[in-house]
Amino acid sequence: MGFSYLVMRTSKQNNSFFPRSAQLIHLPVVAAVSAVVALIALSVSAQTPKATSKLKEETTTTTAAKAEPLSGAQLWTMNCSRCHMARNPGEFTAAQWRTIIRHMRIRANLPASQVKELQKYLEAGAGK
Amino acid sequence: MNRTILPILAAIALLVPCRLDAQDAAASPAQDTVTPPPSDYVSRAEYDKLKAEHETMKKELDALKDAVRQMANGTAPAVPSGTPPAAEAPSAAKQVVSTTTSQPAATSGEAETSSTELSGPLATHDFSIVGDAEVQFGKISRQHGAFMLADFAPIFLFRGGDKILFEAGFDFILQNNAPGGSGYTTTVNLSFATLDYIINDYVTFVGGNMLLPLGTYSERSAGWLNKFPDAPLPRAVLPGNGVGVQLRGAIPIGERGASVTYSAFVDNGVSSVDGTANADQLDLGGNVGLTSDGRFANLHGGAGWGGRVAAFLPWKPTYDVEIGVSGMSSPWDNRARRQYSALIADWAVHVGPYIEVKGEYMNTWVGTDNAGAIDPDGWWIQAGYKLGGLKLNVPYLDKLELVGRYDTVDDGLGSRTERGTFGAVYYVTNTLWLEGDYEFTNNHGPNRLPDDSLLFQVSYGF
Repeated sequence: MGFSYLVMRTSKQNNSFFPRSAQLIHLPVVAAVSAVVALIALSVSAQTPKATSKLKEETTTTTAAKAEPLSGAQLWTMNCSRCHMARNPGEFTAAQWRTIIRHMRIRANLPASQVKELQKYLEAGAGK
Repeated sequence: MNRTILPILAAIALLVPCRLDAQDAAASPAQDTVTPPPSDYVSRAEYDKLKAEHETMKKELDALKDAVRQMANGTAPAVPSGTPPAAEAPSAAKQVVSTTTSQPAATSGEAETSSTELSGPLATHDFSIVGDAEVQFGKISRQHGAFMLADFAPIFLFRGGDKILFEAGFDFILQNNAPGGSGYTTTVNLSFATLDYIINDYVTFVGGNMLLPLGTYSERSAGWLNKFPDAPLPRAVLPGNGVGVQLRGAIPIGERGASVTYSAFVDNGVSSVDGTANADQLDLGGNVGLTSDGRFANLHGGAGWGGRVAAFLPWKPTYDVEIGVSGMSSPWDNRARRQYSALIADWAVHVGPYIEVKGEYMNTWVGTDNAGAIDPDGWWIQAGYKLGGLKLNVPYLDKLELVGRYDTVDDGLGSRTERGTFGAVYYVTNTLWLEGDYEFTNNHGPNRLPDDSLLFQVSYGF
């Protein structure tokens, strides 16, 4: 059972997705696409504080609270669920969490400042 | 009658003065203090209130003593292991509550303090095992259906002090000996083994057999983390790991969780099966260890080098974008005259806890003696939607995630394969998954990959 209707046909039949004449521009194309995606993402993230600033007059205290660093619980949700279902703090002991969080810090390239907050949160709720 | 009344009257006459004296004695303070009572005076109501509070505290103290005693005996009830919903980030209050599931009477501040105290001093070193295991059933077109995989993949972690981590991952797999022999062999592969040293908040040294940071699949999507029973096809044009050293780290951007990450490595590079630079001899998994005659296996003496730079941009928990660019370059033949180069772009988007889209594009350039420069390449994209997002509140549907993937690879030697995969993941728990997929495969050229397949897999992460 084929699915040729899904296949994107190009002028290059044998070697690669792009025609040979286009192969030399792979690098700049990828860089350009990445830059565009980065700009879009940055603009999305930049819009968030603008949205909160609109509410500033009404909820000054709320806006101030949002400017605070993320809690360990928020970082746990933000980082762990990117790659897998987040593990409940009670699933490991505090000593095990210290080891696992170091493993994840290195594997997922997590910033040290975030790791410290994560570690506090996980150890506080660690199993016995 | 008078005889009886007289003694009574006499008794009353004697008793009344005494009674009045007593009343005077009792009443005198009050009479003396028509003014307000002194500040140390405690009313009956206040006394009762204090007594009730004392009784409550006594009960709480007894409960805490029991908890400590149980933990000392190793009989403390386990903290519930169910995964809290990741729909929204728990508030600070929820964070504290979740730390004290065994101490319901404690207030938030007390809970945090007591939990830390009860956990006791933490060891400066620790040995832990995590990892995953999979069982797979497959039916490939024109083949018999079979249980085709039993994989046990533990990761051994040893934490030493504040700076060091040693980690090693293995794959235990059954390998049938047919057609060359009978029975089966248990193969053990060392997936990675590295000694990691945290230099500072921004730099970590990694040395050993490393998972290479080319895209994100090898490091963060394989095995239990993969929502499909098999890897994307184009990963075959990249080396999964290499022996060498690496510096990596992350720099936080602002206070909202964003960061820029980097990895830079030097390793032995890729190799050639027979030492030549003929196009079909490229060996992406070679060039490690010692040969059987005791020589270093580095065929060409040249080094491979590469790295990855990425940005992680969340705008709130579970809403984020990650994009990365990575690459590597290495000589690969015995004369180190031919070069292997790779360039990879990866991306992942999460829109709430229910929607995930991610993928990679990779292109490689391989100089050869017999085919000129070839460029094996490919890309894949996958998406998943958790039906819990529909808020149907149907027990089984809420644990189901629909997944789809499209991947294509061109080997640079005249063969190209496209594949579409559709399936579902059922989350029995946060670590036990059931996966089922159907793969539509379309081959072009002489080097065909397996045809359409129906795959089921049980995955468990521990």
